[in-house]
Amino acid sequence: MAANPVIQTDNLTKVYKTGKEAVVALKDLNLSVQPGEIFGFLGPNGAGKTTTIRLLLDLIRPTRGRANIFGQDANLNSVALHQRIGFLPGELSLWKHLTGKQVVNYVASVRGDDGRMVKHANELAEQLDLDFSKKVRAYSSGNRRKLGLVVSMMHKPDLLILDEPTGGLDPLLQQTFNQMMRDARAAGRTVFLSSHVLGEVQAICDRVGILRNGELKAVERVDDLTHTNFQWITLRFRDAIAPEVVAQVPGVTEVTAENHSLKVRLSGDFDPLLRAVEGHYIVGVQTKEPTLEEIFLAFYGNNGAQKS
Amino acid sequence: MKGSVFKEILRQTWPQMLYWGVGLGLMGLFIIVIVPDAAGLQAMTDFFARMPPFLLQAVGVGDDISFLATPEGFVTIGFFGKTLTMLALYPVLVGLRVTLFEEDNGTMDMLLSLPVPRWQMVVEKFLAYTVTMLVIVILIFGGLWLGTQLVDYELNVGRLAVTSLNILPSMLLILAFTILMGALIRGKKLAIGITAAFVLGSFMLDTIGDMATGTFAENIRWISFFNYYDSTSVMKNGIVWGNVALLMAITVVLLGTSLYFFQRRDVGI
Repeated sequence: MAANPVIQTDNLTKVYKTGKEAVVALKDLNLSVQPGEIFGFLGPNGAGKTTTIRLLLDLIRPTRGRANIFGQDANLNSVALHQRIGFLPGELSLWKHLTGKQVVNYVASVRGDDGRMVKHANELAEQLDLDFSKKVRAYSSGNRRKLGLVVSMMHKPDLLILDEPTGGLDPLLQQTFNQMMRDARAAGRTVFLSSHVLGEVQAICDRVGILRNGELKAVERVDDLTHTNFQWITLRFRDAIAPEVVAQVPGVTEVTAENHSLKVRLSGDFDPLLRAVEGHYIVGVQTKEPTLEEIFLAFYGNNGAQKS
Repeated sequence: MKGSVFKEILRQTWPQMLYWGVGLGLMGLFIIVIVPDAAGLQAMTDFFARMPPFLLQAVGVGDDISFLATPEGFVTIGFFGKTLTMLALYPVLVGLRVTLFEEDNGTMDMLLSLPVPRWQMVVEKFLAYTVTMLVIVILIFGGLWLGTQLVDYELNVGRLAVTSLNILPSMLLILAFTILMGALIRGKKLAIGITAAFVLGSFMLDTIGDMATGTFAENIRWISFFNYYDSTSVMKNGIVWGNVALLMAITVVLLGTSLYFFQRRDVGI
């Protein structure tokens, strides 16, 4: 028997009315996030990710439908639920005239801290190499993000809701963040994070929901999505090379030649491609992840229906 | 936890509270120190007696010119007549911080993601700012009292105290009105504009209604909250409880309406 979902939405819909115009930000979202999983909410900017998160946190109210968290209505029981939720907003704003320490103390005080939250916040700050003594206005955007992470995790929440959490973090800290999320999962916590970067989601998530124009197009295991994944490979050669050399390589679907370079779209293994260009002097290799839109089109086509 | 927002607001606001309180307290002290002697007061009264009635109303002397011949009258006209107009800015500034500015700069998202009900957050902020306004009023009285210790004429200290406290209900009403605008209106500029129009409009209506007797302005003067401030009556006769009760009742209604609307609307968009 499946465990009770941590997040469950039923036809969750949000329509914004601006004057005579009505904008559907989220349409009939039916989503279920299971305990102990890291769920990625993937979609381009404006797809409805932040709207969903704001609905879950009861910052905005649904036009229709409902959201349940831990089996409780997200609107009716928001205060009790917020005890168990840690939240990192996408556009993080903290009280600029306070120091990092004062922000932590303020939030801990509202949460009814008995000293353990502040202690854990100090541990997290050490892990993230964050100095609490500065005023928020003096922090770089990366350090503000770190402080936001500390504040969202200091009470060891059962559910972490993170909106674009790694924006502004350097690659090293992204690794630290990824490890923190894995640790949270290992401790039985649930993570719901939104992103528009596929690689970020692939690195840590178990399942991914793909949102497009306010509609949930699919929920997939990350492994399945990766299977459909492809990369753009640019091979730079010392001498000119004909595109036909690689056109028949398994996994290569598109080839464009420019000067002494070949740009190919490759699904699957790298080895057949390298074997095909054996004998040609390679000056450099560049790989580029597909955009979310490209992945989406590869997976579902233009109309959103899954390709067989 | 209950009281956390209240304590944090007090912690953040106390320097401004001191600036306002000490500044106005020093002004009160100055007014008391410059109160003329009996001959000077009489000369001033004679001067005012020659002015047309509407001008007397405009400078806040009112109908009873003989009151001006007393030190209490001089302090009322010279200080309390202007204090509320100056202090009205304070509840507007802090009232905008209750919801509107926090939504505008994005910190409201963080605050309301914590286990604190929206109504409680608003009430705690309202109470914290009420405390700061009370302290400002006490500091104002402190300045006036200090002034009485420096001069050799008698001033009714009890009346100075209640006339100082009489500022508070009007300030609370302005605070509640500003909070209501923040709860009802998303646009910062529009909310500020309406609040400013409310305060300045009330002041203008009260002043013009007072000057232009027998006109429409006088007939509708009762809708201005400045009408119920009436520091002259308070200094002469003590607190006018009817006025205080009315201002407090309107404050409660405005605050309750703010809570109703803020509890139900989307936040931070």
